[in-house]
Amino acid sequence: MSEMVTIRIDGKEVRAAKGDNLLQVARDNGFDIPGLCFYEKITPTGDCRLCMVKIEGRPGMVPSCLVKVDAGMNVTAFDAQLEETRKMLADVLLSEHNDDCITCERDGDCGIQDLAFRYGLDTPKRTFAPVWQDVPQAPDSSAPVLFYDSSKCIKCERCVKACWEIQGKGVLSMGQRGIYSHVVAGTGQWSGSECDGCGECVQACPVGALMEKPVYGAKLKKKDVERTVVTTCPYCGVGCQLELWIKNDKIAKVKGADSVPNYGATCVKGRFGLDFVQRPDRLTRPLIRKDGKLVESSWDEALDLVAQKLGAIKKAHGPAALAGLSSAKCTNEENFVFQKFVRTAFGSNNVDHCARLCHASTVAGLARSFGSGAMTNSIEELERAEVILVTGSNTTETHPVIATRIKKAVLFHGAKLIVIDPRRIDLVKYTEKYGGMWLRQKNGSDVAWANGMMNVIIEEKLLADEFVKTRTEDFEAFKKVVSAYTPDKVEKITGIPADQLRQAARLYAGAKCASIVYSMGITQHTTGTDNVMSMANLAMLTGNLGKEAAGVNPLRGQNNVQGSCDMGALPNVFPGYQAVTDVPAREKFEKAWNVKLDDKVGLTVVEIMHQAAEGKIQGLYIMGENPMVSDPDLGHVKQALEKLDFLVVQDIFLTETAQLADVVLPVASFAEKQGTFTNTERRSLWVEKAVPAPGEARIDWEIIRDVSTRMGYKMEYSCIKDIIDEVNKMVPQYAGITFDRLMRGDKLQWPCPNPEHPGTKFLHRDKFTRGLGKFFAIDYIPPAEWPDAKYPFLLSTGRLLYHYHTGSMSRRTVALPQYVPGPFMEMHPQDMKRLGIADREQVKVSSRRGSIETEARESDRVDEGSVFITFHFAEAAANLLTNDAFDPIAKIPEFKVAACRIEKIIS
Amino acid sequence: MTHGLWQKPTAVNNVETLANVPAIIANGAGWFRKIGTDKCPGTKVFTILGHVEYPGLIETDMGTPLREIIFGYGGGIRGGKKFKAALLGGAAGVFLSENLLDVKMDFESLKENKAVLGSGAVLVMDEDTSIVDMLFSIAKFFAHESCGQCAPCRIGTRQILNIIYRIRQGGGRVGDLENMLGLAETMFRSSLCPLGQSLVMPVKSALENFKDEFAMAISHAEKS
Repeated sequence: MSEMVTIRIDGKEVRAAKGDNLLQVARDNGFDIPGLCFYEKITPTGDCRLCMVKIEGRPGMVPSCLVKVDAGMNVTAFDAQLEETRKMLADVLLSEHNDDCITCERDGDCGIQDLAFRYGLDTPKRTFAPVWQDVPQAPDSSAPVLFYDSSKCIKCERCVKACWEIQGKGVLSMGQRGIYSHVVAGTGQWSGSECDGCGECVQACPVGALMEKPVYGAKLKKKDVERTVVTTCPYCGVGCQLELWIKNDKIAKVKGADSVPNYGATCVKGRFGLDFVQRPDRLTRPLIRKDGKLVESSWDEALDLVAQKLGAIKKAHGPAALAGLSSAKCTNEENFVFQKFVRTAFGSNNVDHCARLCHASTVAGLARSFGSGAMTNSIEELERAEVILVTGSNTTETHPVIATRIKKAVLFHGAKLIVIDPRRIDLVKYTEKYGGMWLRQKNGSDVAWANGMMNVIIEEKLLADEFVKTRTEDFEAFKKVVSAYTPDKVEKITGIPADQLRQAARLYAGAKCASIVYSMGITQHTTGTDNVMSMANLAMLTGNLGKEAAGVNPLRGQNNVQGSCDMGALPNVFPGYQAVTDVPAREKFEKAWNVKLDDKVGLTVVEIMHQAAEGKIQGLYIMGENPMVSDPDLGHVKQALEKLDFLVVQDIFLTETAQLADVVLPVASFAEKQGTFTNTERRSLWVEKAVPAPGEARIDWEIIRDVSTRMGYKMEYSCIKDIIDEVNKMVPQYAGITFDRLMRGDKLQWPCPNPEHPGTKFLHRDKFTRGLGKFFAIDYIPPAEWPDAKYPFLLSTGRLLYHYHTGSMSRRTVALPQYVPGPFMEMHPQDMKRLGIADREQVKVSSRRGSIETEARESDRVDEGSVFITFHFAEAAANLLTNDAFDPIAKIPEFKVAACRIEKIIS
Repeated sequence: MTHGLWQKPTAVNNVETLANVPAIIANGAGWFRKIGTDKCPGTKVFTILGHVEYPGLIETDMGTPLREIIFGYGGGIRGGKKFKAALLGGAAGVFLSENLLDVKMDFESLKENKAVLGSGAVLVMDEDTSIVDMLFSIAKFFAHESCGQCAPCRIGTRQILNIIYRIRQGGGRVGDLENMLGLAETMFRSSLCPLGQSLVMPVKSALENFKDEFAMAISHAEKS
């Protein structure tokens, strides 16, 4: 805490912290000093000069936004001369501004309009004639999501600084000079710049110069907004809080809400990609397959049919013939109800969801090492880390708002960034230039580089002795294995030069607090669990656990993949990671649910597909997942789904998977229901109903409740609170995250064991969840498949900023496909030259499992011999190629390494 | 200011100041004090330019009267014309009229007469020169030089330029002069750096010392 001092403003005594911003302090204390360029989220600029005040002992006037409060300061905020100066400045500013308010979207919500009103500067009363028409204007409407109208720009630089200081991007700057100055993106046009459309600049603009394009339909003035609803973004695991502006029961505009975890920031998807909610192809009535065709039906008919068919399969073949896929896109409450439905009405533990495909190895690995499988620390803490090690996470594209934290840590707080990634991802730009490093390992060699770094740390005595002694176990066996991984040996396996590895080890181990951030580049391997435990080893060895700004931080992909796991949508655990094989745990749930529960671990996603193909699974209930695009080896998935006796799909669209279903049930989207999502940092965030669901679409948990009851297991939830109450009772980590606290706006991080508990910012403070942290001795094992003469290229798959998962949402938006309309493959220019492939030429890519046609794009992001394909696009589905070989512990498939062949298409 | 170049304490002086140092060390402060006036000892380099017979650089004692600089060193007004005005100190300087020809050219004396020494430039204008034109070219200079960061300078320089342009084109209006002066003063009070603060000096001195010329330009316009 900084020292509190007393200052005087217009004779009134005001207490403030020394060094606080004077303008902010004055405003907080009721002095309504005008000002357009001041914006709390960025450093003050002092451009508009409206906030001029007088300070005793200083000559003339000073802009209060540039003054830091100091003891005894005597400030004049208002006198005749100050107000006269401000009025004239307002007059001058208006002369530069195209005040065509009648057609401006910011009418009624505009800094300069308010200023004109305040000083009574209606047109005839202005002293100075307009000058904005005299100068050439530089409007720019080339970006898909926003436009810049320089005639309305007041040159306050808020957008420029927001782009740099909030987003860490620095795409915008002021071009030209004097009266000709204006905002420039990149070196000219917005469309040719590095702008990724996050819209932070639009949110920062105090006037109508930077505006959203009407991606949600029509232009909209704030005063015509019927209501605003704060809710949680449905896109990724960051859990950004969004403010939806609603008109005519439709989402009309989206702003970032100013609260944890994003504090107003969003990415392009959150702000400009929610129009899928109101697409005309939303499902509005239940569909039943009759004579091979899906036809509309009533809810009663559909639900009766589902219950009858699934009941018949259960009766004839037993509970093991049924399985359910829950959804990381659905709320905690829906996942809770769904897994309960499978465990009670179906009677088996055959419930899983797409976490299997992203972070199953995290859940398994971190549970083994620490006792709980989640991000140890919080998003905000990243900004205070001394070193951040990012590996296997293209954070900029997959968790954009977390990437901004990492960038800010590097740019403004002196953090050093180590990126260990086979691809030259965007974050690489923030490494060497700022004292960090980029190590380019061969795909799938992560255990080796981690062991190598730990070898160096032990050899050079950089380890945290005390921590290792008092907080961990099994160090000696681990040390023995690691001792074999000398930097030279590791160089042969990973391709990382031995010296680089040593330097990186020193940099990481030398920090007081270092944070590991990883994602699917670590988890989606046949050695996924080993990789995760290697990250845990590395953090334990250096004592980077149980403290602020450190830890092992898996970034969870989907909006509620953390919550779906927490709620037990997994075949081996009940809600709260209570093992199905644990007798007391099972008895607890049996008692509460008044039913006998299966004591065997159920099937995982990939196993369900295998057993379906073999005819062992005959009925499958899928809630909000699209395995026909998301799962590995799609050819096989299709066979499996077609072989089923009965397939039920609940979704908002007729997805590739729903098209194969016997019954399709239309559901409410995130914007049409209440509940909670748990973000990647274990924070439970409220989802609020903003608009009505289309047609007869219903909420997922209500449907599940009704099917369950029809199948003979009666569920009696009447509202969301009923489910939350049960979660509080059954899930120890969520015991204190009550409905009342959620309603109050609390955004709590689990574990939160009771209603008074403030939530847990970082885990394992004094002891690990499992007691002592456990070192695992892990040897490097190569990937299941590696390029050879027949399939000479290494194929890796992943995501893009502009699309999400199987594209069922992001591809149904106005804005996002404008950035990336369809599938493509990143390929190194040397390889393209060698094969005679031109940039943007269609090529055929084949693996042992299938082949696709896609566009080859020249890119130096991938190394020679490697290609990268995103999995968002069904028409060139990367997962026709991927290998469904999986990690023996977590059963996660190896999406990140496959061998493929690339051929020109000869027509 | 707490630190300078490379985060170190830094002295910023111009060459003219530093050029005095060796002579003062060699000859002593007493010698230096004998030159110039009591409060402004030493010499000053002046740049004489404009409508004089001998434009150029001179070094002379502080406190030398303006008349001597123009008519002595400068050789008087070119072509036998009459003196009309001198702009002292550069573009951000002050217009002086004939009644101040005997002002002493040192910091104190000029300050007493609301003028500045500035860069030491003495721009001389003969009887045919339009002060309106002169002010126009000065306004143009400042509008061009403004970086555009702060509002008063970015827009104010342009507004002043536009007003003088209009007056010059015969479109002057009652109130123009007050508005121009008021704006220049607001710019002085509120601009971020000295560039925006500078226009007040030439504007104010031109309007004060050559009021009639501006008034006539406007009244002609009003009549026609």
